[in-house]
Amino acid sequence: MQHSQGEHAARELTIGALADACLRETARWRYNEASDTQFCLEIFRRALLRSDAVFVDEPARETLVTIYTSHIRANISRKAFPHAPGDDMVQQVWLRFWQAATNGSLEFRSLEAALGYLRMVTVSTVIEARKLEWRHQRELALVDLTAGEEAGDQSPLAMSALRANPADEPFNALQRARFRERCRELIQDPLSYRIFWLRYSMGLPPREIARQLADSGTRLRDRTPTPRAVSDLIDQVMKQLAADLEIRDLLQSD
Amino acid sequence: MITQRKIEQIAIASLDDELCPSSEDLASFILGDLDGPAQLRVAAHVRGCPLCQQLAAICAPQPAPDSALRHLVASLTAPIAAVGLRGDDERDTLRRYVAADITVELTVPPPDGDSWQLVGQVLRSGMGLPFSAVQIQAGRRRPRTSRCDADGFFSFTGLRAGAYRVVVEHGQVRVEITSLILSHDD
Repeated sequence: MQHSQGEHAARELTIGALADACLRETARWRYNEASDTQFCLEIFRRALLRSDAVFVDEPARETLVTIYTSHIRANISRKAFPHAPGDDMVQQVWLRFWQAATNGSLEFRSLEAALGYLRMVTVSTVIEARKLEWRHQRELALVDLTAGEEAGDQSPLAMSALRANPADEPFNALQRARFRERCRELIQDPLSYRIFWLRYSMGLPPREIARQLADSGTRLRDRTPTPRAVSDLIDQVMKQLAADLEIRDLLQSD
Repeated sequence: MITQRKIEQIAIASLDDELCPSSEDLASFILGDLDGPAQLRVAAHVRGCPLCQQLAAICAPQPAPDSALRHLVASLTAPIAAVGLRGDDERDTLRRYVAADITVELTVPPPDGDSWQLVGQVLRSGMGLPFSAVQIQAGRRRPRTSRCDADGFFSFTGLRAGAYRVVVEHGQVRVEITSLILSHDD
């Protein structure tokens, strides 16, 4: 494989000298100034070197993590983690990055591509974390509703038993799919549809839904959304669903 | 009798992410990094999936601090008469602003008295760029913000006649339309 002069020069530098050059050039690159990103790509290359599926250049890996952790932090949404993303999330991002490198062969031809990839891994890690949290909230909400309905056993033991078996949901896959489909048919207004699911799939209270809608510039009945307006809309949708013969049939057959 | 509790139960149990794109695909979609067909496929899913819409709305990285933004001023290409952006019947003038690989298309439907509407779409390389933040400001008045949907569409209603500045931010790029005039004489 042919290497440019710049690549040769970068390959001969010690990791310390590379780190200094990389920090300097990354800053230039960020501010759209002329930059030589060969030094940065060389750190990526060394960090990703493997032998028998084991990373071999630990100092390069540490340098990569030190230099680009700030890039990860900058791409973790403050909306997803209002209380400042912890080190946990950053570690999860790096873990996924190294896993991807282990599963395939990562190679970057430009700093833009390398940081773009790191950014994608960051956002997908955040998505996974939020999904996991919502799934957990849904399971808890289901347990609470189920426990409330079964007037008898609300003991911590019964609750934890339910939590331990989230598959023991009170509706089968067919019923759930049919309910989703029927909701889509009945709730024609896309905003009402979204609000209904925000309430029940993410467990967001009307206040939080109103805040999020207002933040994104969405208007409800041509006004800035209020918790009351959101709550009224959810009640309306609920009445509409409860009056539907197919949904009544679906739930009674349970 | 069907109780609200029963409907709540099935609603909570019903939304799952089995049919959703992978987290990697959704992340690439949010960042506008997918290729054309994949971007369209994921956009079509996101349009109908409240879970992915919410994920996209809250997981997209915030715009970079001012100092790290690449600031581009969009230039107007010749306005053309076109069918409304969303395929409406009325023929509004489409104004197309271009900065690097980002295009902002704007239509201004006929006003209702002095209440104007602005409908737009943000595109990158011809594809709708989802979830960009869009800000509109008249002079020193308080800016209004909106966020593009899964296909890059956004709208503002209830605007008064005047000169506006429109700013679109996506990731580390800020595209500015320095002067958009809403006027009966335009």
